[in-house]
Amino acid sequence: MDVRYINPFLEATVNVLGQFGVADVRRGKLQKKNKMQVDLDITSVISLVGEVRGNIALSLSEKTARGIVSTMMMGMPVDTIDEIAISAIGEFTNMVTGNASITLSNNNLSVDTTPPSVISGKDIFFIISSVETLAIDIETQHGKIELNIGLEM
Amino acid sequence: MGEIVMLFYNSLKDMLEQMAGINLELDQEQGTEGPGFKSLGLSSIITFAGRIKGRLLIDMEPAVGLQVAANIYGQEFSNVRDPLVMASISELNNIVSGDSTTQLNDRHGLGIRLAPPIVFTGSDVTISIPKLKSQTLGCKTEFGKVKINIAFEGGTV
Repeated sequence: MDVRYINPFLEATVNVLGQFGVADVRRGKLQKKNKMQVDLDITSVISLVGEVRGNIALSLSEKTARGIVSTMMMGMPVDTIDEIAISAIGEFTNMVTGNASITLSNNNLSVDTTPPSVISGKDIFFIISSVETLAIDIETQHGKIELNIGLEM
Repeated sequence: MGEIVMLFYNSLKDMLEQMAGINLELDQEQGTEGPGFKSLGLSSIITFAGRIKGRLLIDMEPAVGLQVAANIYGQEFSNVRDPLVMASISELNNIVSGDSTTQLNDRHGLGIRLAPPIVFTGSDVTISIPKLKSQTLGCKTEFGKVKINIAFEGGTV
């Protein structure tokens, strides 16, 4: 996977978190995976179609999700992951992918995004790409977000 | 919504029969879904964009997935996380979604393009698609239950 396609997603995640007011956002470890085993409770997936085709998944624990959604909602306490919180996580993914798509289109790559699906549960085992998946940890004040990128390039 | 659900169901029924020799029937006993879709254990999602955007989801009990892979590859599988089992369900969804959206594009000129499939398994899995209405169709095979779920925005098909 070419770094030109990875960086827009990484930058978009960091920027969007910063816009929400989430503190201590920094890039953690990066790893290449054939399969995506997630030990985190919630994964939000959005796909791309067009000149760049693939899936982007943001995984986070319930605690991290509650913290980020609370920050998105101006500090309102979030005790459970209800329908509103799920919608906020979907919107977060939408914003990340939308921002990255703008950067890609500024580089003359036409892409369209699809609606997000938010998947929650325990011990989830995913395959998001038949090629390879790149996983980048993003550390925040609320805990880790795992950005999984599976582009078919 | 009705047209796309039935296109998807008929295509899944045909492909399960052709690829794996498994008969799919409607199951009237399965009730309607709440706001979150509860997975039966093994799911594949394909989303799409074009004049309308949305999601096509095939969900099944693990026993159905194991049997689909067994019938395609001619060998027994015991673990639903086996890459060949996951790949079988992912490819099944790819073919079914490709077939049904091609028909929709031909009939309505929707210009739908499919994203690559996602396939996953886990415990107590709920799948939500925020802000979009979705429709679920309960189905069954002799090996267990199957559910189809369709959600889309920006049109009425």
